[in-house]
Amino acid sequence: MKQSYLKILNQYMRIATKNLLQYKVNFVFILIYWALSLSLLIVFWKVLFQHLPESLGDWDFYSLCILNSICYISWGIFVFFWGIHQIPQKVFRGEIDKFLSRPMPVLLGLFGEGLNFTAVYEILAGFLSLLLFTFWQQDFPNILQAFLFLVALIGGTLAVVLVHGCISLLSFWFGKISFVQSFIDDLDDFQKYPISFYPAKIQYFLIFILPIYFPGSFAAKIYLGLAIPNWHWVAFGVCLLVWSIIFMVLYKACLRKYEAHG
Amino acid sequence: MRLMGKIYLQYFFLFYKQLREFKVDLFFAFLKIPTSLALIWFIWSYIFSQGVSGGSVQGLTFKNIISYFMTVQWIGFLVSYKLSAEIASDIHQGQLTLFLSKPLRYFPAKFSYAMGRSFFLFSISFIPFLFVQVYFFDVQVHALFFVFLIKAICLFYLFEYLIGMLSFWLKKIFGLESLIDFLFNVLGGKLIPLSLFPMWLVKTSYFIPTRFIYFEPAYSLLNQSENSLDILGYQLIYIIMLLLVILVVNQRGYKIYEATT
Repeated sequence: MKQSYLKILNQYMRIATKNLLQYKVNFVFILIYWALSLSLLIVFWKVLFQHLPESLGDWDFYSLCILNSICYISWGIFVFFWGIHQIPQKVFRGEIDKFLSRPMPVLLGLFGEGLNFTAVYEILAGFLSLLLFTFWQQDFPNILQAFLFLVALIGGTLAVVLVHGCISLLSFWFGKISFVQSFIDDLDDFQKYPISFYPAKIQYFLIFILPIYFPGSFAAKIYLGLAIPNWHWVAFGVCLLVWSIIFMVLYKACLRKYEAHG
Repeated sequence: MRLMGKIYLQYFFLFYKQLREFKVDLFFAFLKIPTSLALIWFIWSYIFSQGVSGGSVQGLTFKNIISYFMTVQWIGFLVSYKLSAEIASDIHQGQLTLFLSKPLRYFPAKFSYAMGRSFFLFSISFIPFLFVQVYFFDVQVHALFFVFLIKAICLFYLFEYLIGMLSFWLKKIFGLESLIDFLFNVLGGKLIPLSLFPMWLVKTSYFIPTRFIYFEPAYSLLNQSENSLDILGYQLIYIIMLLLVILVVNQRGYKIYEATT
């Protein structure tokens, strides 16, 4: 059974690749855009540091560039799960029916149809940028640091995906929720800046409620070898677990509601 | 002719009718500006707290910066409609045929809808915007600002319309849209006021209309713009230029569309 799911996923991947390469000019524009967007915050900090002292707290230009690259990789992983973000459109158009009538989990269908291979490019470009800045500064993390960094990055991004998933699932009750999604998307911008820039209450919000701290400043601090309180690791595990449970409970309730309405 | 005018007026108020159906969306639309602004506030207050020499960056104080970004965010809210994506979808899904087969023109219909949307969003957010700017940032809002604003919105939608129309040739325009978005961020002054950039980049930005959509209206509120008449002139020139280009692109695009459908 699980092998057949893998086959379905493989087919979705092939479709996603063909979709991406179908319009070559568009593809080239996307590649240029992502390369430029990677430099967006670097430009921001470069311009600002011409008028500022050498560092802002623990963060100098180099470490802010590292944080920027990490956020870029995290965004790439997020885009990989873009199907979850598209749930409201599918609910609105009544497209969930087609997944319900197929012998596969609805979530797999949603994930498969939303597969976006620009994500691979973003992840690669992010890692390349991370390596470039690391070589530039000659400040290499050790193996344990690199491993913990990957755990924080992937786990943290998954937690954020789950939060977005829960918001998307609300469309089963409220219909069109594009502004809500757009509001949450805006909050994701908080990830791009060090958490120490925010007041204490906002920091707690970004750790416990909308856990964008983990794939952002948290992962960057591990990579850079900066000190992290132990309770942040506990919060990381709890967040991932709690949001997974909320997502699964909501998901099941949504399907029940959708099927009840026919 | 009068009937046509009435129809386009209907398009102008269409967004209002649509939005009445989605009150939750409207509530979150309101929340968007303070949220984005909160982020900007936190970042810049931290930056200023770390010792900016002389208490200002290139003559811009903390209040100036926040006021500037508030205006930029507000303009962004007013023009938050992705007209280019809508046009691309109309072309690819064949919705354009509905317009071509009716005594209706596509450009004025879409443009009326977009302007109506901005007008509605303006009417619900204008008073809070004005209150905050005047009360908290001691900004003197002058009449010319609204002229800049109206022309900036026109310019934005003309630009968006043109990008959308390019999908007759490019088929998919998502990549191009993203690139334009980048342009708005850097050379439009959405990311950082253009006055903080090196001089050569500031001069280059005059050759791209994005400068006159976000940066100039927002900067004019700080009373730091060099010459208001110049800005009005540039905006007008860009509007005329874009209208002329749209005229040509429309004609050629429709020919392609009619030949392929």
